Amino acid sequence: MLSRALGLFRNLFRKDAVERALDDELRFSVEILTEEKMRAGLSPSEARRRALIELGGIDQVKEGVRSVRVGRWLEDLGKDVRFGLRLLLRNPGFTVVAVITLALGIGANTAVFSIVNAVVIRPLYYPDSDRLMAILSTSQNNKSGFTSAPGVFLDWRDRSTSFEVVAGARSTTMTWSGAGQAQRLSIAMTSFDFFSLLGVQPVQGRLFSKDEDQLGHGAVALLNGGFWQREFGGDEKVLGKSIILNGAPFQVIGVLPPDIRFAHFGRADVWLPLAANRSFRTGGDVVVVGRLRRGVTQQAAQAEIETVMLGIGRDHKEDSRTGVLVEPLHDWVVGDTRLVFLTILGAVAFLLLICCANIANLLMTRSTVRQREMAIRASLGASRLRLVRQTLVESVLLSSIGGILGLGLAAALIRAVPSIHAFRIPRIEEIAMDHTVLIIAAILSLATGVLFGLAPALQVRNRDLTTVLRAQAPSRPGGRQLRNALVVVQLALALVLLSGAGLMVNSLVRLLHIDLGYERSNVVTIDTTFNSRKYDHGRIMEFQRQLAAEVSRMPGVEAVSASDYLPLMAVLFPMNLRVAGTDILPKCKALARHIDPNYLRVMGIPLLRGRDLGLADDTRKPVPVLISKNAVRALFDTGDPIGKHLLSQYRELNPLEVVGVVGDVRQIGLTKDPSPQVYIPLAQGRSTGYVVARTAPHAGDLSAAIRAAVRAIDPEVPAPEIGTLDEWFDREIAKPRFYLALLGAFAALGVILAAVGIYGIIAYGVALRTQEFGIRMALGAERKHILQLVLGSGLRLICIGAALGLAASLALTRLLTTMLYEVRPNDPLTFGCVFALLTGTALLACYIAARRAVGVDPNVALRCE
Amino acid sequence: MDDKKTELLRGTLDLLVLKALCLEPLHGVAISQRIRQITKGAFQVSFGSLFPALHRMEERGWVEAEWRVSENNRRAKYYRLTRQGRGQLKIEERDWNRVVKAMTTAMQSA
Repeated sequence: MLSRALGLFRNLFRKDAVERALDDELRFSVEILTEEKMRAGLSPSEARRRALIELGGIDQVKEGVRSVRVGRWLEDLGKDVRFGLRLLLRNPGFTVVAVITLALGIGANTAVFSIVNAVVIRPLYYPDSDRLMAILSTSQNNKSGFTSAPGVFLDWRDRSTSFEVVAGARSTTMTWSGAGQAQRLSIAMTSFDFFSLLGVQPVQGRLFSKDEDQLGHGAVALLNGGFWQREFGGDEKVLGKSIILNGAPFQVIGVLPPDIRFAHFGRADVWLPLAANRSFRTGGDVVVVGRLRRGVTQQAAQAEIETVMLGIGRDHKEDSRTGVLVEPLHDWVVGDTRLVFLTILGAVAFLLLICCANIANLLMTRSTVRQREMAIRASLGASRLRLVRQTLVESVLLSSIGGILGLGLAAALIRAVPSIHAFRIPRIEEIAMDHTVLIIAAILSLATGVLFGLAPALQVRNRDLTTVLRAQAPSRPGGRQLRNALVVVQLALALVLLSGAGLMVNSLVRLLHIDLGYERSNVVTIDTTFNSRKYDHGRIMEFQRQLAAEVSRMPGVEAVSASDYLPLMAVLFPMNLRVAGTDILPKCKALARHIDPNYLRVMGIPLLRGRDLGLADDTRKPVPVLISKNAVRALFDTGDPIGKHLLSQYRELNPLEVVGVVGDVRQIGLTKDPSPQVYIPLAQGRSTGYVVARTAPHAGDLSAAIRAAVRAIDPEVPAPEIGTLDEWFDREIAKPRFYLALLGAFAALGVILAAVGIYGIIAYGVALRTQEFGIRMALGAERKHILQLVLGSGLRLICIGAALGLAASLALTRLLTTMLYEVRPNDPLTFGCVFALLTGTALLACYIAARRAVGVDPNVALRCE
Repeated sequence: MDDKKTELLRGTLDLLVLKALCLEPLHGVAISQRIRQITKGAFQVSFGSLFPALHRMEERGWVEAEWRVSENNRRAKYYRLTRQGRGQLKIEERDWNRVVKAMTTAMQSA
């Protein structure tokens, strides 16, 4: 062992001495053999020649000795790395292209993987997170589960035995007044033991007690650490003081860490006790989380709580049709983003494969050129293994450089993730470059290096030196089949990405052309929902109309109105309508919206019959209403609805008198068909919401003026959120737009790489056959024929690649189904276009390469080499 | 022809080298001659195999090398068996005899 260690030391650090000794030894051997032969009567020169033959070549013997030395492997690796670096530096063009390609591929994969890792793979960071379950309500229509009513939550907590802790939380907004202009805060309301589930400790003060979490007792508040720093400068004296929320005082008892992670609750400024009301039993927005007792499985808990639910249903008739679902909290938090990110991960993986295929092709082109070098090295005693290793070292070197740059790219991409507003990414604050990501990036780099290095490495053969050297040019390109296969794979992968992007384009175009039923451009929306004891419905109405009057005087404003909700807000307020005097059908479940006069004009909703609502309708009885065209169809079939009376389940409103018919509007969502609508005067309802104003195009930003107007009317009203209808619409299509941007970028890269790949292989083929083309042309072949010849070989590859890609796309695009609107994942038009686009681009690349073949001058071609 | 002989020698080369060195230290060419001599010319070791084997055995500590003045007054590298090398020779001899016995039995049984 010691002797080997000494040997290693000598071989690595005293190499010169070791080599000199070997030289001496061999020189002596030659001399002694020569002397022997001279004694046998040979001439000195002949004796020396024979001695050298007997030895078998000094260099070969030396190489043989070197190869058994300890540390040889390490030393060779160092040599290979240095040699590889020299080669890369000598071909800067190739190196830059390859490194950038790899950096893109590895960077994109690392970034997407770090997201998938943080969001989907890593367990939640709460203590015993594997035992945390979301307990959800279900209904006949919605088996996937939704938030629960406070009363149901309390019953679950009291009656279920499967859980150690059952806690609930809901979020809301409140108005904070008493410190300058009022502000709207986001509020989390939780049961007292919720924090123990999350493993959260206060940084100052204490958490809620069980008594404080009782209805009528909960006048205490916890501040989020960030909010505490921002608004109170981190002042500890705020503890024990009161803050005014919705006009009522809450005593501050503690400060929470600034980085609480629980769905969107992390952004809450202030946390209040849930103080659940047992008598609220329908609807509800309480998220219920339970921690299973040790040893209880999800299935057992599900069975147990179902029994509990049956009991609850017996006691409370309104709960008898509610079901219950226990699912891991992780699944609930991640939701359907799992599929989205796994799809994206699949797409970037394809991109990386294309990158690999491309670089493999480039390397193979080069290694064919290097055949002679390899043959010479082989004849000088380099083993095949050694040459293969050299090739692999070169490719891994490339991929490592690419990987390091890719890591930088990934870091930049990850930093950009929070600016994705397309949709809420769960656990977004956890996305980071951690050691798992670094390891994956390293593995990716090595694996890609080996993957694209393998093809050229397989080409390395211990060819007979003389054949290789005698050949004028490397006329039989090695590994041609392999290279063709690589191009085919590239084309196929690019087609898969392209069809994904194509389907997204198709889907987005359809979304953009949906008839909404209203004019979304140039409408400003002012959110005037706020809570304050000072303001009842009547005063809010008054405030809204005051504000509307102010806004209507602003430059560029054409019309102003108000309503409770905006289109696309997906708020349901169903009214069961039937025609008065007919107890029998037809009935109609219509969506109720409360509007002020002028609403139709602001929103651009057409009035089809009758009249619009006016100020006089504020108090008129029977309540005058507008109904939508499809409501008319449901209620009256073909009869004239104007002047007819309707009845609803809200007795205080009955009867309603139809005074006008308006166009259908998509209220629930972009992709949902317009539901029947009834519009009621805002003043006759109890809800308030938005002031809406139609402006002239390019009217400029009114936000500052509007905020000033609000402050002038009442400084206790928090500054409103100001937006536009276009923004609401953009939010609806943000997701498909995001998918499209992503898949589109991947597809574009993929197609470019594939085009470069096929260009490379055709151009290379043309270069090899220059002489042949020269002869053909000298013998009378027309340029057209040569062009056909070259294009033909390219076309074959393109067709095979595209056909394979098409088959793969048909199988894979099904994964996109949930992301598409009114486009089937096997849409023939999309596939046709995508096919044409890819084959067209590839053919163009072939043509450019082929033109060089035609440009050959027979004289030059025949003389070259 | 040489190739065939080398094939035959594979695995037994170490044993032959150790055996050749067990009397006295020798340099490379002399080892080759000694092997030819003790096998009565049946085996001729190529230098392409001999020198790597010697260097490998040196690194393993079975032989050690010293530079001495040779019979014709030149500096030559002489290899000498170490204690470890003698032990190794015993092991290899025993293994070899076992193989020979087994092979002989096998051949006779047919």
